[in-house]
Amino acid sequence: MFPNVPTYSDRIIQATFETLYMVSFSLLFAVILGLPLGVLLILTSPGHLLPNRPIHQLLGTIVNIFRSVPYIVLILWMIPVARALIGTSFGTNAAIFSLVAGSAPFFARLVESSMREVSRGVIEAAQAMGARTWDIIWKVLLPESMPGIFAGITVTAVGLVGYSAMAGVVAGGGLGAMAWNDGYNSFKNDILFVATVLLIIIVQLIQWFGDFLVRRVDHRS
Amino acid sequence: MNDKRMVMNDKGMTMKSKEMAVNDKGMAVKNKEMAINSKGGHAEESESFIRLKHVKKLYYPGTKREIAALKGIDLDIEKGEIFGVIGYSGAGKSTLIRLINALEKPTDGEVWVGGVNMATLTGDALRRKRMKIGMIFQHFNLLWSRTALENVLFPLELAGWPRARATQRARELLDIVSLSHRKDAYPARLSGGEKQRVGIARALANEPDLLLSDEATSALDPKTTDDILELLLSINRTLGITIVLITHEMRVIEKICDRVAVLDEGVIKEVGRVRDVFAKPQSAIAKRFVAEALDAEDVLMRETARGPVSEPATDRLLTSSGETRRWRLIFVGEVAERPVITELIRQHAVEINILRGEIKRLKDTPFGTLTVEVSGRLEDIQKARRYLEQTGVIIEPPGEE
Ligand SMILES: Nc1ncnc2c1ncn2[C@@H]1O[C@H](COP(=O)(O)OP(=O)(O)OP(=O)(O)O)[C@@H](O)[C@H]1O
Ligand SMILES: [Mg+2]
Repeated sequence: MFPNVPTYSDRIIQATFETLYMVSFSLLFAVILGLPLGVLLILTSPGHLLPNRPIHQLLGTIVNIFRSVPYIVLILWMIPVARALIGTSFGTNAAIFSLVAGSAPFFARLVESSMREVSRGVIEAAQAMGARTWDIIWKVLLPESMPGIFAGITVTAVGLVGYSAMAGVVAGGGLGAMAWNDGYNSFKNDILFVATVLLIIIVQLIQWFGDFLVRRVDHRS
Repeated sequence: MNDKRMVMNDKGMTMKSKEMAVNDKGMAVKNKEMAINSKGGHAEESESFIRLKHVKKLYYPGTKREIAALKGIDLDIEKGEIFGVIGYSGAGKSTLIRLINALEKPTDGEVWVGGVNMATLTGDALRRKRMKIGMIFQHFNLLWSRTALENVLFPLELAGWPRARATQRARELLDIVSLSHRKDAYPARLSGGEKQRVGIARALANEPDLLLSDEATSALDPKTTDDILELLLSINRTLGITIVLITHEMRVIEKICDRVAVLDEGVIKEVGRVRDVFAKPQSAIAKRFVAEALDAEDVLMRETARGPVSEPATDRLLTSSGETRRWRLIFVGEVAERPVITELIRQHAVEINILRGEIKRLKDTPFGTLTVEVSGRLEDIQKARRYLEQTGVIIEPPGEE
């Protein structure tokens, strides 16, 4: 059934780790960049705590550009960036650049929309109690939108698994690259199949864990 | 004749004055770092605790969608009183109350609280002042990500209390609002009344001297409304906190307010002691609110009785024994609890036909209305009127027979 799997077992394990590596680090950076970006988007929006039309529109436009460029084009865009910053456009580290560029703006929008759910009244109550903008961000906006943010992280992570397979083909590394090089191009369908199954399992685990976290922090019902 | 209305409801008269067990020690918690200097702005001669001077508020000023929410408000609110503002939707009530803690800035005029012009406060001074002004809301505005106890901790965190002391204080506050047993529940699991209790505990956290209530009972059923109002009343009494509340329900005003302002389209149409406004509303809108609180038909009749055109036929009816008058008698205060009518019949040669009547309690003041037909000789009717007026009964229509 799987003639090539035993000989490729080390490669399979390595590729799995590469995928997990790319996904987790891209996710980390996407959250580190996307969360403040999302907070800025919401705070500067009209009628919010720090309404500022120019900044809001500038950030919104940047986010929209990155979100509307097809991912394969984003990969090409980030090749020179990776080269400039880490000296190479090859390997899992280089792939992380385009993965972050593709997912951080997306995540920022998810943060913005879940924070928009926090009611005006609750924010005003905090102001009436003498909260600073900073207090409102940390003690109101973030905790109150936690289920939405965790759901957003989950969606982003699942997306990153798919994108990492594509990025891997170009930059080299991960289950996507293995499926393409060692599976499809080498006429080894069992390798292609195993790569696919592993990707599905990773996505399932992420989704399951994400749903679990969302349920843990959601006290709305 | 309507006998049903005669069943005088004395439930209101024996209102239980269940006093809250307030932990004085807890309320007196105070340390030096926490001591708040409320003199952020320059003080003035102002005697009233809260003073609004010619306050105007425009939304979107200078644009075509400009809205004049408040059109020149002058208002004085004294320390320790419960002051109500009543008005229909869109009257400008929320705008008015939000000026007091500077959630809104007046377009024109001044808002003084505790001798401080709120417009002069910014940054930390404003934040400290706001910590001394509690606020509760129609929709509670609790953080659903926090338990009841954690919600009460929130303002203490903002004020920089050390964790252990803050937790201790939050527990005491939940005790004051009788919610200790629900301290670990999230708001989603609390009933409306319980949520508002958490809101009240939260508003009291930093020992405010003023509590603002924006329709705090409007989302609650009548029974729960009464419970919350009683809680507010006992907070006012035991802690001496001034309360400013806004509402569109007269029952809220009559139950706990000392004074009331009637707001309509951004203008205060009438302001006075609740008992006076109930007894003799001056403005058309105050009459409408009083009518709603008493008996619509009753006040309707009172209107027609006053008007020269639609004098009811029965009013000047000649009977065998003489004449008949229809009066609406208003009893305010102690006179409402005396057997005035019995005395009247015993001492005067008139017949009394009671059409309808009602007794309620305006905070501590008994208040009753009775619509009667008085028949007899003109002379005796006049005597009866004099007797009633001497005992302190207000008669409508007023004047001579
Ligand atoms: N933030 C705002 N921006 C623009 N217009 C406002 C704002 N707040 C209130 N208004 C307008 O000002 C007027 C008074 O509103 P306000 O909320 O003070 O009335 P209210 O008496 O509290 O009414 P309700 O009982 O419905 O709460 C209304 O016409 C309202 O549309
Ligand atoms: Mg309102």
